[in-house]
Amino acid sequence: MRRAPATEKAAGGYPLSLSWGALRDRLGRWFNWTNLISMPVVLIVAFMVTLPTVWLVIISFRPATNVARFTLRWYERLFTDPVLLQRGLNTLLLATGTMFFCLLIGLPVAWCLARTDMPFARQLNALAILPFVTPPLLGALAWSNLLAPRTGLVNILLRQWLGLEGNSGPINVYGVWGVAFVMGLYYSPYVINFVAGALSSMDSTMEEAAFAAGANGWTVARKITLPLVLPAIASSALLAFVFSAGQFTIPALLGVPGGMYVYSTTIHQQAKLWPPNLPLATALGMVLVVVAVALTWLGNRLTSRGSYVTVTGRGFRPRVIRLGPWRWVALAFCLFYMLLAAVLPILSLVYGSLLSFWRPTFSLSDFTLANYVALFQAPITWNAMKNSLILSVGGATLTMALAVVAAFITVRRKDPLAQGLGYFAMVPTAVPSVVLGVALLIAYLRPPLVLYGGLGILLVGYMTHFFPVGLKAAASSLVQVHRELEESARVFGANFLTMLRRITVPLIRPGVVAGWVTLVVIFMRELAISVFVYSPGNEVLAVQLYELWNDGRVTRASALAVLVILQTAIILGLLRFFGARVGSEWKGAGQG
Amino acid sequence: MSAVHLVHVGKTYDGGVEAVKDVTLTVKEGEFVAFLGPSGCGKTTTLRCIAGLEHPTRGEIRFGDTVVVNSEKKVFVPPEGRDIGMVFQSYAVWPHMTVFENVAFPLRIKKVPKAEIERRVREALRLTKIENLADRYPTQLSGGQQQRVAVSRAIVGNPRVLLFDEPLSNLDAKLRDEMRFEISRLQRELGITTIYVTHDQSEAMVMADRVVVMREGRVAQIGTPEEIYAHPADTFVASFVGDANLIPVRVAGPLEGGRVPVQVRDGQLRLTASVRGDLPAGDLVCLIRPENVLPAPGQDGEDVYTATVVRRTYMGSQVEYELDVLGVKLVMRTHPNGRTAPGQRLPVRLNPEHCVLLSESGGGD
Repeated sequence: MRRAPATEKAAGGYPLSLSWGALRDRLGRWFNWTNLISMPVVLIVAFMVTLPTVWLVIISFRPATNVARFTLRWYERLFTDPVLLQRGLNTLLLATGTMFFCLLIGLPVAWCLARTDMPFARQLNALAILPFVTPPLLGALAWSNLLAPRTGLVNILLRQWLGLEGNSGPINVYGVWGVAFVMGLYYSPYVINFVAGALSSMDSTMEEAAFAAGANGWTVARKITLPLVLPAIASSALLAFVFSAGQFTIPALLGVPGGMYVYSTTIHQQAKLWPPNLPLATALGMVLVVVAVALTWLGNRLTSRGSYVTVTGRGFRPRVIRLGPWRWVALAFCLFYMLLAAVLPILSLVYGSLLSFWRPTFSLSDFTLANYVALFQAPITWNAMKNSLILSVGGATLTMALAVVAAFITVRRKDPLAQGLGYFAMVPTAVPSVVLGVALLIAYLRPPLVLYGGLGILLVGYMTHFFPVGLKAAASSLVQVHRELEESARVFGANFLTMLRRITVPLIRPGVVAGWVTLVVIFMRELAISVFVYSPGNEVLAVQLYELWNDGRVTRASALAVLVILQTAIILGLLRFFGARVGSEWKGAGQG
Repeated sequence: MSAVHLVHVGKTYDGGVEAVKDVTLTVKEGEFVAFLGPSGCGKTTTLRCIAGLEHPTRGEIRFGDTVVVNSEKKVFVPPEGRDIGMVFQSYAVWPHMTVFENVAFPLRIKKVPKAEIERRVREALRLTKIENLADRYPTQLSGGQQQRVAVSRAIVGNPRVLLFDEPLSNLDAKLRDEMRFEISRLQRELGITTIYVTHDQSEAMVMADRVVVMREGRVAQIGTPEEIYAHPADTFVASFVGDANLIPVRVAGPLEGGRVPVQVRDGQLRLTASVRGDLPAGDLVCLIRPENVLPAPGQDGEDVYTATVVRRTYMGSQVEYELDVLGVKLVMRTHPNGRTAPGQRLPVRLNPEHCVLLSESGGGD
């Protein structure tokens, strides 16, 4: 539309040369640095997201993976086959149970942190990073060490102290409630963060106005505070539901041994059958995706309508409730949560790793380093460590490189391209890892891009699934860089690239480094995707650990888990050492 | 240093919003011009077009003889090629560089020799009186100090044109007065062509050689502060640059020697108004500034009217009366020793020189 007048004018004024000139002009305007850098990134992201997603949808409507006909039979089976119906029910039960545990733990902790005079409240805010310490894989292993009916440490001790007969019980973690409990510990920080955030950013004059109107404390809590934070509670609970419905690792380790299958573990089971039933696996995955999309949408609606939770810039702390002696009870509760979420699991892993085999008694004289020696003597361990290191460092670097450019597009450009990329890049967040895992397996086993059989598919898988994490980190720090900081560089003579180099990159570096570290740590322990797309010889640490578990070599698996924790701790320690300098470079410098 | 010419400049955003409709004006070499208008009038967009931070969709912009924008010939010089200095609303002082490095940036980009950079940065810092802050980081500075860093950075490269985008709107009142004075002083010392965007009429009046009043993407009036205040082009300009009694009138006699008798449209009051040149077109309004309504107790004359005091408001340095003159409401400001109480009569003088006939501007205001 816009071209027409330009060419007319050109043709009218200078008959020959300017139609070429106008074309060159349009090309010239398109070929600037911004487009040359951003177009490839947009294409890569679009490719990575589209390819597996499209295959996921296609295969779920096919009678067999390589038979290109349309059928609804797999969806039909989901709702008629009694076994699959039971598994659907399990999934629902598990997600509901997890949500329940999350609220049970999260609401009191959030309230104590945000609105009471509980001692050490500030330090305990670090609770938010607990799931990082014990990710699903290690947490599940640890809780089986603690609560397995026959060999669980807690069960052994309980039997000894209570003088119970037999060599099993009294607690069994291998069931819906056990899995829900462990998942609840893992996902409760979402509730804590959301609700504590809403509670502490609330304008306390709203409550004071109610007091002034003559309401008592109970009435204020019921009529003012609760309604104001209800959107935060509901949306975080929904988030816990969505995440736990698609979670693979914990039900795989704690549910499968007792025959309790959910959708995610069924997807894995169907994909690893010989011959695999990929259409059924993808149909199950589609259901999980649809549920995730619907509930995420609902959650967003809740929070956007609940945006009357006002964040004022005024610097006063919200009204704090004095608990008196009860504040120590509150502290005990929070510490107990920390004990369950991090301390006890790690201790149990260390304990397990020092035994040569699990026995139904407890004695210090059984301790040995045999597991570690065996691990270090096995070449597969070294290979897996090497693979994990390459993938996590390489994957995190590539992901952040893409994310920085994508963030630049989504934050700074206001055109449809930017909006499209913004929505598009977030698609993987609605796809549970296990579903993406099976989709990747299908997509990269065939042209146009055969990656299966090497580390490449693991790399692409990690990047696809966790690109949104990197994008968020980069975008949120770029948003804080006022546009005028960049514009002033241009005005004072810098071209686009100089501006990026001298102004933008130095300013967003702390956020980008933080995103990079997060990704390194996540990739180091990723199982749900890896377990689908790895091939023999390309194991990563998480896969090796899973296989040791499946072989029943639980103590060896515990030793490997301890090594993974150590490896992560070393990386984090090193980065903190450098990262602290990176972050405080310009904030702290020159103050002395 | 050079003059700035804008010829039929327009800017329509991709969404179809027409921020600047048609702006034609010339800023003379070394002149200080203020763009004044309410938010959304297009003044900042026009400035950003001059800076090269926006692509105008129509028209031409020249710095002296150099064409920096011509939408028909597809000329667009990017901001880094225009040799300008700019002070942003948010100051846009880079937090990861010291004050010295911030100010040195334009020179480092131009690859000026090191010793000269040192000398010129010190000079720029001296001019804005912050030599002692050279090694500090911006996060350690107050808003006013950051503002001075921004100004130093803008002048250090001795640019052809200096642009200010509402630079004082984030400062408190006292600091604002101080900076107004400092910026005018600097501009006069350096003689750089300057364009200054503001929505504050007193700022524009105090600082600028000429004021460009903008409204809805167009120029409403260009003139010296005195012209704009005393002879506004229409009621929009009249009420934007100060308080105004605007009385709807119609012509009640012939125009003679710049004077014309008028009659209030819905009332008995007859006045003599002054007109520059021909009668304005359209519906007419008589402008009388509140300070030009003069109390005239015991005086006589054609231009003395008897008013009734409706309300008296004491304001410290002055007193404000609301008056009723034959059914017409008039606001008068005068020395605070006036003691006429509500309900009492008070003769006032409405000098024809101060009754300015304007055309009523259409639309919103």
